[in-house]
Amino acid sequence: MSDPTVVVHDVSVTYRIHADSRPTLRRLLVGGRPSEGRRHRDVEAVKNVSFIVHPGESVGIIGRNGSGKSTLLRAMAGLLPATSGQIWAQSVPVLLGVQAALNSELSARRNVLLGGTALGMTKTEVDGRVDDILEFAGVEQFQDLPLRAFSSGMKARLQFAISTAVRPQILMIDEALAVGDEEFKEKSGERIREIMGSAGTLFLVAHAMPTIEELCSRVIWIDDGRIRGDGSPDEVIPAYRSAWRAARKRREGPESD
Amino acid sequence: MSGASSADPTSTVSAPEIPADVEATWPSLRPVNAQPGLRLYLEEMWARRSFMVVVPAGDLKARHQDTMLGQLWHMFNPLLLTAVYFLIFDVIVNRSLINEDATYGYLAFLVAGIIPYQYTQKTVMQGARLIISNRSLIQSVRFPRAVLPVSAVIGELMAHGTALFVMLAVILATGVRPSIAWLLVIPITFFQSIFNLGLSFLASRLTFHFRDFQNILPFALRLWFYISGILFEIEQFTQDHPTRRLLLEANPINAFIRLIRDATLEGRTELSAWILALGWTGGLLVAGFFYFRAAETEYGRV
Repeated sequence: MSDPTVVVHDVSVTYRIHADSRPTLRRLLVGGRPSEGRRHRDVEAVKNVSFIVHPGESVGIIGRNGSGKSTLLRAMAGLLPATSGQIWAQSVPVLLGVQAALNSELSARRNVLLGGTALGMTKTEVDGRVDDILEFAGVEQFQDLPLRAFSSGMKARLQFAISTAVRPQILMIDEALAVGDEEFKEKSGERIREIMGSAGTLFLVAHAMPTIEELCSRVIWIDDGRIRGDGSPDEVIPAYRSAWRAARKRREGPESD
Repeated sequence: MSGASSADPTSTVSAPEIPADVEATWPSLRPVNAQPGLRLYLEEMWARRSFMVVVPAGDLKARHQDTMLGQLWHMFNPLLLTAVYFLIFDVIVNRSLINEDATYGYLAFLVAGIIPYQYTQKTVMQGARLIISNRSLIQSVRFPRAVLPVSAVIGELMAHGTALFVMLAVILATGVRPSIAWLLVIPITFFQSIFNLGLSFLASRLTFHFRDFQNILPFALRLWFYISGILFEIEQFTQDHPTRRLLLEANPINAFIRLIRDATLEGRTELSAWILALGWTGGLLVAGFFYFRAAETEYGRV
């Protein structure tokens, strides 16, 4: 059997949040409880997470907001150091997030150069593919307009086109597939399958279960920083749904907050 | 807080079996946060050379976009600054701050000090903000983080180019004759850029660890401005104090300013100033780069 593409071993990620805990006048008058004496608070976003991913697998990561999904992706992409544990991968995973490298004052064409070079392509490589990228994003006719004139859908398409142009072996997408029209969804789905087909691995964080069901062969459910489910979509998604319903019932029960 | 966030103790997920030595079992795996060796790191930086130029060029264009005078501000800023100091120290203080038998006037002396100083000051200030202001980029794209300070210095260098033309124009207007030595401004500025890069590396990582550094920096830079012989000639005030003079002249900024002044105002250059400037530049670059890179994988925590 071939080597796994990603191995995550007992990984925890802790953030240090600098909280403002000075005694305020209001607290003094109302007599509220001061938020501890410390200047900062440690938040454990990911707790003792372990899993192994094999070539060709596409893994959906689900969980409520703030459950640690994005932190886990960032740690796997080597963007955020793990506090303990270790992560191995066959190649550095690429997180679909080039929008941070783009400049809204510059033209779309210029931004392809910017995003592509940020991801490590050379200028010549980008020059050779800039037309393909613009065409894939469906923005060829607007290529000389500054990015700020683009709709959010157009920007997201361009971002997807740039990120996948490097054909990463391991691609990570954080809630990005909901954008674009039907036609683009189909095109991007195709490209994702292409990446998976060439023995690549996909990680997809999404809240839309249909997207996960359509694209993922495996689902990891993160709750409060821990893995609560790991298996095929038809096992994990129903369990996630029923836990979610139960939690809502509890919330809406006695308290009316 | 509701009970909804409680972790499920009855979780059925069992941890996968992970061999004790992962890399021996699966040789194609590498730790994702492994630091590339120095050579590879520099190669990865080189691969992003277009990124390092395109980004600051875009920022520079955007900088004064919403003002009426637009890009002209890149020229007016150094002019106004020089005018302010000239007004205070020549017209109001009106006391000789430079050698009486100098062949150039106070205005030329002043502009040849303020403009180079400004370049270092702006780069260091920007360097201190770098990791914080690029948070989202750092948290979403993997690239050698040293790209950021280099890119920032390139941006300031582009702005400084305009300022240097303003400086030379002012010097010319005061009646100084141009000479072939003016060309030395190019290598001097090149080395000053590298010097600035070294400082920028240090400032970036220092503010990353201690945000307070950003508040101290303006005062440190102000002090540096006043002791760098920008407003007065150090010789003129330290004639009976050789130690004080030695200390003031060991200042790298003063060395760069001396080089610029010698070249533009007197058409000459001094080896001692070059040795001093290059020594500081090399030392700071190496120290700054390695200090910055040692925290490479940490910056995502910003």
